[in-house]
Amino acid sequence: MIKISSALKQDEIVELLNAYDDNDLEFSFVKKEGIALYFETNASDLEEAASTAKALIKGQPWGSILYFQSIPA
Amino acid sequence: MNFTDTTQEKILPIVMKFVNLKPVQAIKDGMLFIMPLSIVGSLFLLFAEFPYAPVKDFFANIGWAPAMYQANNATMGIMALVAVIAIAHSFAKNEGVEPLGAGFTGLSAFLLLLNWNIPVEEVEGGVAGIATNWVGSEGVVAAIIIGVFVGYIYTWLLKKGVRIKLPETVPSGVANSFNALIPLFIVVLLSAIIYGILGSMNTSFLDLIYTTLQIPLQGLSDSVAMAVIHPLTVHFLWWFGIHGAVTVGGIVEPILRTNLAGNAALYRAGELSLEKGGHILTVANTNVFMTPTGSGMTFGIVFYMLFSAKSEQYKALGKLAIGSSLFNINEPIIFGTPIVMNPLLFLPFILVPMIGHLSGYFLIRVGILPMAHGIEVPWTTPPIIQGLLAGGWKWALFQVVLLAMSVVVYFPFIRAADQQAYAQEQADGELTPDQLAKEIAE
Repeated sequence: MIKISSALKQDEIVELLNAYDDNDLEFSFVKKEGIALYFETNASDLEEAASTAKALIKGQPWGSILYFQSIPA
Repeated sequence: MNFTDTTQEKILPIVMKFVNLKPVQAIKDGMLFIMPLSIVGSLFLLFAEFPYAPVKDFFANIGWAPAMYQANNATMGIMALVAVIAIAHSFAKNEGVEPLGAGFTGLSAFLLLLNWNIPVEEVEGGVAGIATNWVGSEGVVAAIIIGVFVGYIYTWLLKKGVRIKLPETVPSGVANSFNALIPLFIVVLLSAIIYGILGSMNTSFLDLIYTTLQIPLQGLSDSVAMAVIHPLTVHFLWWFGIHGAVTVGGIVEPILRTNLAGNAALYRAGELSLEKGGHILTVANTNVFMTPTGSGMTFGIVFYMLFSAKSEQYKALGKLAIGSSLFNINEPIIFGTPIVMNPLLFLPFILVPMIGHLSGYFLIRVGILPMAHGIEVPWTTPPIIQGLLAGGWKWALFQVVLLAMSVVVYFPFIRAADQQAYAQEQADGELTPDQLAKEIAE
């Protein structure tokens, strides 16, 4: 599981990661706790999965100015 | 509409629109190239002007000081040259155009638009050559303007197909060099016209920009208003969940870095003072007085969590966060406490860095603290060492005072947050209200 903490654009983050379709890596939204969003992932390396999620969010037009954290949970 | 929705729908689009403007992106990306030059140049300046006399004398006696000053000249001292290349390059790259040609076109325009004359007292009319002040700190604002305009014109022309078209069989390297011909010619022609017009008025574009724009901008960046506005806006945005450093820093930092380079030049000449044009606010102040231990100067929170927290959550968070906080990285605290969008911690998160920045400003103004010597220390350098390197022992001592201030100011707020977290933990453990009250009182 990975945890994305962001106060803003939560719906967009969930939509983005749920829709991410890579043969080796998938994310599935599990729950929301305050500013934290939890995602199940099939990745064995959670650090790498969190980095990929961070890069995906940063790659959005709104992602470059978002102050957020992406870590293994 | 709730608070978060308002932020997302009202504030975020405005910030996004500003940050995503093409010139702003090019300046932000391009000016990042200046930082390594500034840090490496600072390192050599640090050895040449080591804050411990025996070491400084040692380097002077073995004849290394001139080489170290020269290393500083060739890094920190060419920031305008690098800025114009990097900004024009970034503009073209962001637009998907081959960027190297844009960078060199920017360099040509910059060199064309300055006066190749060095004033010398003994020689009437000066001597031919490029004064080093223009390729360093005094040319930075002109470099930013030229870099953006060249990037824009170069990209626009290529996108409009104004180029010499070669057959597709021609290698891309050859094709790219021919692509640059017409945009380069047009930019050089425009620059030559501007040079000619301003030359007939006994000035140059760089001179004009320096006197009419850079001096006022540096004055504004060095004012008490900026000592308030800078920490306020950065932390206000951070608290909302918007990256304050990316949003505000991209525009403010180039000017503050220019101020630091100006101080470095004065320091080397032994003339660093307010009267000689030294700057109180530089990029060094931001790291040392505003954000030691991370944005919001959250040392006070970590300290409380380590030594006074009652909730298991905060006890664990304190142990987790102390290591990274010593290197000024505090995301675990920002998102773990959390501080973002937490009304309880809004006030101290804004106040603590502002008190630090503003008090640093006044202490330098009245002469109790020295001005930044011109040394840019990497932002991940631990506090106290950071202060020592950037401004000497008085800066280091003042950082100790600021960290203590952070502990005091944050205390009532983080204590209240801790009590809430503790109450929640106890409630989850099904304690009675009386037991809870007793535990909290203890």
